[in-house]
Amino acid sequence: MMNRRSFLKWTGAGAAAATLGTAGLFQLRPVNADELESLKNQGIDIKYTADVMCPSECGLEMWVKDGRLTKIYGNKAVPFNDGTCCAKGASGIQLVYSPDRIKYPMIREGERGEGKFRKATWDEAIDYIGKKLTKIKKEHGAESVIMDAGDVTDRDQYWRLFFAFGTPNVFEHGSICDTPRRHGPKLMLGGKRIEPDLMRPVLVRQPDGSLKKDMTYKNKLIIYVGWNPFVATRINYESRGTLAAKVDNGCKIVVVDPSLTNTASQADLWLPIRPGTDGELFAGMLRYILENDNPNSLDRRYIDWGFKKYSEGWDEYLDAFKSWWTKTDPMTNLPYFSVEWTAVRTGISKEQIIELSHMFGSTKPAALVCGMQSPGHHYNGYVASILMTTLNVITGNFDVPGGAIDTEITKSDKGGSATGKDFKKKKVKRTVNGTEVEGEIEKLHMDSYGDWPVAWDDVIGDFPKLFKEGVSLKYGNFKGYKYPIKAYIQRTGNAVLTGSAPYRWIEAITAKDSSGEYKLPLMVTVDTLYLESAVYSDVILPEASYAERMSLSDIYPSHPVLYLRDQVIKPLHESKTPTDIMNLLAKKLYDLGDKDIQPNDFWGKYKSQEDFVNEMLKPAPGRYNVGQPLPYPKLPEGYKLIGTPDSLESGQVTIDNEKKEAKGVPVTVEWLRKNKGVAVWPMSWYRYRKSDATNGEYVANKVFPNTKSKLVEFKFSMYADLDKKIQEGLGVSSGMKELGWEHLPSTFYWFETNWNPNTNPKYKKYANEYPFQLIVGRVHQAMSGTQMIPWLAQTPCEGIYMPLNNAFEHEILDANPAKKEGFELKVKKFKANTWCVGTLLMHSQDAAKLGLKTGDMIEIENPLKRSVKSKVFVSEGIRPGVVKMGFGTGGRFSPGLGGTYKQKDYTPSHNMLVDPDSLSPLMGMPTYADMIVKIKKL
Amino acid sequence: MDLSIQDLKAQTNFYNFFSTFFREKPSDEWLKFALELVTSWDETSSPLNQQLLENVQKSGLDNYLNSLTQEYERLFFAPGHVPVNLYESVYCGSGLLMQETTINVRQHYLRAGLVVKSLYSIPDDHVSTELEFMQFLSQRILELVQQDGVEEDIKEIMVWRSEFISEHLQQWIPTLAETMRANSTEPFFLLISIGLESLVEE
Repeated sequence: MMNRRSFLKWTGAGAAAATLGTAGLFQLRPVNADELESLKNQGIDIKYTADVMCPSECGLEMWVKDGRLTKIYGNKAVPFNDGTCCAKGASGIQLVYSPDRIKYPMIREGERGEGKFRKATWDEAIDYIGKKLTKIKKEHGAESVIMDAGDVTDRDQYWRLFFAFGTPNVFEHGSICDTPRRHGPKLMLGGKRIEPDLMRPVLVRQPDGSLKKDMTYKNKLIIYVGWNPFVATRINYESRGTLAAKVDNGCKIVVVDPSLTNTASQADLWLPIRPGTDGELFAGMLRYILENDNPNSLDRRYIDWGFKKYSEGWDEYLDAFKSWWTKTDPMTNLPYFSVEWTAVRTGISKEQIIELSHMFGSTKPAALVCGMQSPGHHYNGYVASILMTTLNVITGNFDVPGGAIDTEITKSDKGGSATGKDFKKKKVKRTVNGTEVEGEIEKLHMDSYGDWPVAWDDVIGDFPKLFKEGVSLKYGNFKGYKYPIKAYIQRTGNAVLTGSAPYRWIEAITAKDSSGEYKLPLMVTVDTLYLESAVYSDVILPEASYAERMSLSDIYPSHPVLYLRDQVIKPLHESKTPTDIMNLLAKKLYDLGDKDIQPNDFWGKYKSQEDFVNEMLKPAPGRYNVGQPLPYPKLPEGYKLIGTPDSLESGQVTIDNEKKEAKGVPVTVEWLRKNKGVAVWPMSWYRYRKSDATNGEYVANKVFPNTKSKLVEFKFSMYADLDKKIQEGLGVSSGMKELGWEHLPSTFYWFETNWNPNTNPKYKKYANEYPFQLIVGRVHQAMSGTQMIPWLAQTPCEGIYMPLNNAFEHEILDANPAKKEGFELKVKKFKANTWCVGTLLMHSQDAAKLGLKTGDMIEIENPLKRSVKSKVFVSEGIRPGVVKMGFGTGGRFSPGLGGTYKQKDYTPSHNMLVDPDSLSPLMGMPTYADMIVKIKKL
Repeated sequence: MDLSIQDLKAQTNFYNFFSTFFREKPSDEWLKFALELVTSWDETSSPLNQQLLENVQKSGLDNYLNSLTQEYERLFFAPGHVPVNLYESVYCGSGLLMQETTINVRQHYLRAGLVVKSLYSIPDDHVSTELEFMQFLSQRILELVQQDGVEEDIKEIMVWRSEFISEHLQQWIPTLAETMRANSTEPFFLLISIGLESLVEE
């Protein structure tokens, strides 16, 4: 071996080295005196921002020193999380400064999926994408390009660019989240997310006119159905509020879930329901409540008939609901929705169903809340969510203190014209069957005017089919028009792994034509982390992490609250902010001759992120001066509120009586920064009513909720409008055909879920061979890609993410007091059972029958003959006959996943077992929780 | 002061050479010269040189250079987890980037009147930047030793240089070189790793 002396034969080799060095300074530069002084004496700079480690997006306080993020705390000024910050939020530093981040633009070198890339410059990468997009637009139309912004967070720059480019096919994660769960609230309230009134503190107008932060919990009963806020957090305040309401106000908590989740473990009552029968439970509860309601009995005054004043279509709904009572279910030979039928279907005893129905009818205020893992992931989830909404409304619990709030219609508005939705109104021409047709860009939408006319939240689960077969429009101006999909631009998100069966996605993305070219000529990933979808991309662009970009929180509070995601530190490495990426690509397209992209819509208008965010803030809060107590008694009731809380409070407003708007000083980034990053407008309840002094009663204010009639709609006007479009088109959609529907129903309907041998006769034949129902749940700390943080990867969760690894070696931070910072990065040998991996949760009785114990390897196979391997975790915390896995916990094949990647061969990817052809029939959502399996020991 | 101008020139050149190598993927032209250089570091008949020669003969020079650039991408620029990280804080600090180690490196630069151009974006402790700093200091000494009456200045820079070597380069460059050897079987990179390690040996 050489040593320094032998190596450094300075005179000879050094001279040779001279020819290979480049003179001068490249990464360093001289520092001037002033700069030197400021760099040497930096204090702590406190920034208020919003998290994106998980969709809860809590308000955070971040400390910066020397340009470096050093501490993360909760922001006490934000009522959504009220100063709290969980372990995941606090671990953000490990993500931001992870050496495994995507650091540079990369261009694919090998085949898709091989993971071979070369480092590229931004110019090269943008040029590559711009030229491909220009060619595709010229040859196939802009609509051939899909922009999938992945997470809803900070998507607007990308949406704006691609709307302007001319494609209406712009998406986000929501379509594979829980669309059937949102269906009922959307149809009936114009909303989306019914949550318990648990956000505390709330800012409330007091009788003396002052505003006060109220910490009082009013809730008496909360029924969580398939919802596990302690783990699957999206609504931060439910994690702490649920227990606070229980302790402070004696609120009873019921959890209906096949598995004993963390939330269930804290409940007063856990009802381990059979999967896919939440609709049955609600139908049974509604029938019981209707049949046993007695306005004259203190004990049985279940229904608050006042709801009829604030709604329309109840009688028609009731008739449709009751019409099932006389029908006999072929699976049970019992009349639909009877208590007996409900018991057989759900596996919950008759007595418990009666007790639950009575408890819900007689306890006020109460909230019945469905989570993503109940209606959201079943083929017939619509039925359950419509019934859930109905039950909350008729019992008088909708928007009352301590009751059920649709947070979609109470949160602050944001986005405004920055989102670029106006570009969709631009008219374009296409030739359909030899005739030139003109119409708005939005009417080229692949789902709304294609196979999914009802899917208002879009359909990502159907992409693989459309990548292969192209789009065929059936409705609207362009009916009969066909176009291929030629580019898939994905930003964050990870659809290859999460958007239904990965094998189907991979097959579609890697399919080649006869000349050996990919049928999908362009696939791009924009992200901070290197996940599975990026492995299949042609170009990877590094996006600034959440601490390095500016935007707004996307949250679901019970009244308007909005906070800034301020840029805390500069974008690291060569990553860029969404605003910069938007402007770069827009400029490239413009330079390549795209007339749809104009400087004044992009780089001429948004010179900074702040310009963009200020435009997003213009409509805020955009909610109404309604309810009790009235948020602003000095402003006209029923008027839309726009402007900062202090301008509205001081009356510094312009009143527009025509538009019915009270407009104060617009909220800006600067205003938010002066107010700890957050704007909080007052809370009110009963936002659907106003006082009629003449008659001394409350009447509907016709402002709230957000339906067409501005009333709660039991007769679905949204369906009526959509049905008109469908009837004028080229026939009913395939989903409607599956249901045997000629029209969309005008009110209540019922149909069975898929792959459920207990409720759907079609699947009865599988019951013996496939005795287990497979469900799936979120693991908060291992969602999407965050298990790449070793500390989170070592935190177990609910039997589905457990320390059951095989022995392996992995590079990890390890304590070493001898080192300067007390840690060192080293390759460490992990013994078996010391690292969390995706597992399958099974009841001990089932395990005993199969001769299984915790840690045994098993194979899980579905009737489609797809199988995965897993280790089993045996517990009493799940209903017998049901097994459960985590989302995205196993089978992770991207090397960007750290230690999790090394477990890919023996951990289960749940999506390998979903039926990719079973998309819920109206919204096209993959039916993640409708599957049956058999299990064998390996 | 016992400083050979030739030695100083050679040191400057070597720091410059390694800084250039780690800054960006090298061009084929650069690699051709580098091949000659690295093979001169060892005996002609050494196993590494023999292996390198064999590889060139087997693939042909152009293909071999192409394979070297691919290996370079794989080792240092792969998306996700790179086999060989080029930041000091990954080896010496908490395993993350931009940690105390990085800020300490920044202080060394500031003392010499320098700062990284992409301050707060590109961590200050990239191997290429650290070696560029060493090149700057060596170059500065080289300039000063050819002047009269600047002994104190030279002494000061010598202190800066030796402190930076002992507090930083010697703390992690041997591990970086070892990591390169553990992750590549390509003799060119092994020779580079040996040269790099030798450069900072005591």
